[in-house]
Amino acid sequence: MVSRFRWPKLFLLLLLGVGFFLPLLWLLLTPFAAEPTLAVKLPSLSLKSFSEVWQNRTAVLAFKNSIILSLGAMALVLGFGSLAAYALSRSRFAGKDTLLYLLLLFSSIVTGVAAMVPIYALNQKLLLIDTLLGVILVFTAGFLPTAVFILKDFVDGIPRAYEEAALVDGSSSLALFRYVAFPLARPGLAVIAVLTFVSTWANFLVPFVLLRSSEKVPIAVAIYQFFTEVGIPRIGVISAYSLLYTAPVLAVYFWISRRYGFGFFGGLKG
Amino acid sequence: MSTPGLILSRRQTFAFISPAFAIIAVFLVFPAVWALYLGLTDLELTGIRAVMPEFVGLSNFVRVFQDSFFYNALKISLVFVFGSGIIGQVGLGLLLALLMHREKSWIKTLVAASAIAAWIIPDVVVAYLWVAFLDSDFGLLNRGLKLVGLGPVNWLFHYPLFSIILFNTWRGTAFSMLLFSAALQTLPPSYLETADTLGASAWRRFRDIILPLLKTTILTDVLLITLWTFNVFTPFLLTGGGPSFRSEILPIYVYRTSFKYFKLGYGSAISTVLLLINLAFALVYLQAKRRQKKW
Amino acid sequence: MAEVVLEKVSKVFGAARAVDEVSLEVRDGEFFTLLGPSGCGKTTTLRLVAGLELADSGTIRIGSRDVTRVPPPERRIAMVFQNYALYPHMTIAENISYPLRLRKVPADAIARKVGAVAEKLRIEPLLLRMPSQISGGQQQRVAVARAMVQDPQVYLFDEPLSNLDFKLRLEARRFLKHIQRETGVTALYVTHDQTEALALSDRVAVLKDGRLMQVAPPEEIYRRPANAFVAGFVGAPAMNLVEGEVLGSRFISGKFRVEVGGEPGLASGAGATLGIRPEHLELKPAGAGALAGIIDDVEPQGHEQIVTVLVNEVPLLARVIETQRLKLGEPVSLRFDPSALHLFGPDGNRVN
Repeated sequence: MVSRFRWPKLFLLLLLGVGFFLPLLWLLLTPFAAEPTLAVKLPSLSLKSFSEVWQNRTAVLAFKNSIILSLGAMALVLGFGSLAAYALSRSRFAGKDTLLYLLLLFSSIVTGVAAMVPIYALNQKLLLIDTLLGVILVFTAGFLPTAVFILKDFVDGIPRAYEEAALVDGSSSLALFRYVAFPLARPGLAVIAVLTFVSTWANFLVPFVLLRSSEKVPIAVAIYQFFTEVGIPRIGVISAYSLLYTAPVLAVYFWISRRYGFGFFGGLKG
Repeated sequence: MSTPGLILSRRQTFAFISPAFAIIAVFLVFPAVWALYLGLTDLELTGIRAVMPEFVGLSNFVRVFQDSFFYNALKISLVFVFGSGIIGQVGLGLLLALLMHREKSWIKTLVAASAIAAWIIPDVVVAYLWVAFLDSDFGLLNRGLKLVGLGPVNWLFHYPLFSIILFNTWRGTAFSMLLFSAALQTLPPSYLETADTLGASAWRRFRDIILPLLKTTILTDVLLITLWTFNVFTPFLLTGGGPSFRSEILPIYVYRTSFKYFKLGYGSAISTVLLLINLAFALVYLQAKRRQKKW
Repeated sequence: MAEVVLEKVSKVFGAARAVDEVSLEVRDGEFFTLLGPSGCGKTTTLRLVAGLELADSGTIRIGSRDVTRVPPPERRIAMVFQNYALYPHMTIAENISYPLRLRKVPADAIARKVGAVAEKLRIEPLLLRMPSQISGGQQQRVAVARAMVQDPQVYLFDEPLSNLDFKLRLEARRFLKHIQRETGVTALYVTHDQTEALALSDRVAVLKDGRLMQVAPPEEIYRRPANAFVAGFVGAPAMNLVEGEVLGSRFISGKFRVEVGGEPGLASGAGATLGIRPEHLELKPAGAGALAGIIDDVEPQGHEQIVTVLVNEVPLLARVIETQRLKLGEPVSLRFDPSALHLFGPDGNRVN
């Protein structure tokens, strides 16, 4: 449009953009610096920090722990979530809507530190404190409601005709799920898989509260320990480690938003 | 339309949903209810009270409402939610979405990419980014201030609440920005083009057309952002609640009470209060969502 | 009241030239239509006149004023959009009065004006309703009312009838024409529907790929299309177009031969396209007409039949008014007046 206000508008936008960009700059530059500090400057390039990460025992262990936690939660959410979503989509029973409503309600209120206090006490009773399994179960319970919702939407979008055709051919219900619905819902399952993975990957609070021993903590907690450690903070390791830790999250976001728009990510993030 | 029982029988339905609902019941629903009970005990993290907590009735809850630290945290939380949630994330998100709407410049890409990165990078990393950004000797912000002859300011020490508000605004604005952008996309272009031909000023366009059409989206966003901001723990990684409790929002207060001072029973009482506040917001949100799409 | 002049106006989107050096002159008080298939640049041209798009080159004048770089509200135009763009949260009265409220017209003057326009368009009973509570045809009238209260120098219509069903469209068409006649305000109208263009307009501009193909009154567009594209686009069913070559005074396409009469002004052997409208072909018993063929298909339309006649392997459509019963495969002949023939040269332009 012919407008007299485009340039002031763009200038304001640029100003805000710079504001959002500047804090990120450090993460882009420091990991490659030969002498990493808290300052942002164009570094004399070096991959030294990355090899330091590789030689740091805690860092490598934490990397392994993060993968176990995320894969574990992912497997449980996918397995149990898809079964539940399928059943909720394909059958009708009294109170189904109420059940779904309560599911949504609980998943949005049982969050943050307030939920961690009773969860801590519960895990203590179940002897799950300081175990990866305990963290995985808490993650799973946290993500399952949203996962069930998204997956149910996907399954609702699959015409019943496919299953009815298989039914006429004499398939059992489990076979219907296994060979008809499951493959058809694969795009939805892929989304849930990666979203569960990155959400647990990025989570700090749950492992921070539930894990005690330093050889069990995931990357999130390890980085926190690095920068609260007494003595000289190892800025190089922290920055390189942070970048390695962040990269998969960015990649997944990029992939999902390309395919499905941002809504999906927002769904699990909260 | 087929018979619902044809694909899955009642028993199969139950078998399919029970594993998921068992985990949810034990690790999500039960803790929320249990918090209420724990709040009635003097459970502690270690020592004799960890093994044999005693029932203390409502005394924890009475104490919460007499605890000056609770009121301090509540006050700081309210300022934090209003500043970083409502003004910051919702307000700035709406402003960004409006500025970016119908704009194709590379500047739009820069803003969107940076804001989204700030939103999806994991907690510990963004926290450390801001520790570096705000550092009084090396931090980029103070370097910039120096260029115009100001500072340096020890932000986290002298202005801890302002720092975490700024941080959390930066951290979460992308969600609102994306939500509002998506909502604006659904408006027929001719609505705004009609206003263009009529010569409506930017303010009139906003007040007369965009605001009324985005009303439900804004309400949804305010409720969600309030709920999330109220529970966010990330500022702990920046200030730990200090110095001297000046940035201690409620979640940090709960953390300190329960896991630093080991008073799980008392912490549960505070948690229960928080969960009830969450419940109120969630109910309003879900209710609003049900009534959406009216004209 | 004003004329609208475009001089060599171009608009480029990426690699596509949406509007390519278009020059035209809309006379004061004229009902002028931009006609063409989707993607031909007609809507872009309209939006350039409105100021919603900025021309990359060329000049646009409204009245005697150069408005090429003038923002939309200062151009004194009023635009009616395809979806009407009525604000769903405002009542009909609020929608109509919105332009006046923006201009800070006093309340009593607004009330008088809205009342007068509503009366003229017979929408007074709707004034307190919401847009979602009235029909498509009524919404269209409200959109016109909102344009009228602005007292513009030019109305710009972007396919305003295409969201209506067939019956309403005919009614709305008459209504629009009536309103424009009565107010005498210049109207620039965009449509892809050639019937609509012919029925409404004082003059029509046919566009293709951002270029002007022909500017003429509807009768001339129909009777003397300037090129094969216009010939094929205007008229339903479409004109029969046969590709071939000209030898002397004859048009030849394989075994298909037609005497075109006189000197067609084309070199012998030059490629050419022959055109004749289905309504200009008369179906006769075998041997009675100049072209012999057999009936290949019959489509009854109620009041007429569209008959496909295969003449030496070339299918020709003919409109047959009589309700005579026709048999497939029956040998027939076609008669036509040579003056009804259209001949287009190798570049597609008319040569006869």
